[in-house]
Amino acid sequence: MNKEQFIEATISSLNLLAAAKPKHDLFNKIWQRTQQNAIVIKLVSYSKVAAIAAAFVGLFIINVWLLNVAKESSNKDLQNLVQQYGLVNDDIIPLSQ
Amino acid sequence: MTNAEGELIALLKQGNPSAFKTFFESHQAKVYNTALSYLQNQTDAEEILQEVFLETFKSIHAFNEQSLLATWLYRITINKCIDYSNYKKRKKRFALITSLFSSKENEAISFPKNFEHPGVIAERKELSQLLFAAINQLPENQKAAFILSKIEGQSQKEMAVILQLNEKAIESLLQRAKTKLRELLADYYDEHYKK
Repeated sequence: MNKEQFIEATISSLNLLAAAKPKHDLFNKIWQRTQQNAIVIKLVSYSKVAAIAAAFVGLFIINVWLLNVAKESSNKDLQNLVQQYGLVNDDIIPLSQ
Repeated sequence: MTNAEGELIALLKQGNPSAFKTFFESHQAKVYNTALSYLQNQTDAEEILQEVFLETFKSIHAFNEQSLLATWLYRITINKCIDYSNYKKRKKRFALITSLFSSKENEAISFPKNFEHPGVIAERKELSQLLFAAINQLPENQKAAFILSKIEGQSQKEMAVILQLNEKAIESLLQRAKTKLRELLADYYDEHYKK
């Protein structure tokens, strides 16, 4: 066989290739893994929703706490002014008036 | 797409278990044989078979029905094979110091030629082993094109959809694959048969 014949014979050696079959029946294994994956996907999506809800609750709590801190500090400032200048409650006129 | 295939897709999208079984039984040979030709290892091909159907069952809702189910399956199979092949190469590279000195793209066909496809007729076994060893030396896209065309018998039009390229690019890929295979086989002939 010369070089050209050798190359042609080799390249055409797969022309009559019969289909091979897997050694194991894999459907049950694949189906089981599909069901497990579906459970994992559900758990992940539930945990995402839970994490987002927790973040909103956390932000709300921080917001309320910050409002309280601001309120307390403004009350303290007011008390300091009253003590410093000897004012009584009637002397304090709201800015709106 | 036929009416039967349309009905099957609708059942698959509803999550019908017997539709999945029918779908698996009618398409597993295509997926397994493509993976076997690509990875040249029966255990790896079975692993890819599982991965492909897992992916298919998971993303059947995203299948837009613009191509045939078989074409979609071939695309997933080829992508999984390329990913798996790259993963194995990376693993090999990091695992062995000796790999620092191996696998250049243009090196001669590596031996032993150890892959025996179970579907090859006896008198062609030796030549087919040699061809599979040569196919293994091709770049991934040429390897995919050659396997789809010569082993799976896909038309250039179908291959264009599977590999997401135009038909001219497919023709050029096939041409380059054949030229490269001829070069590799000529080198092998010179080395082993020329006196």
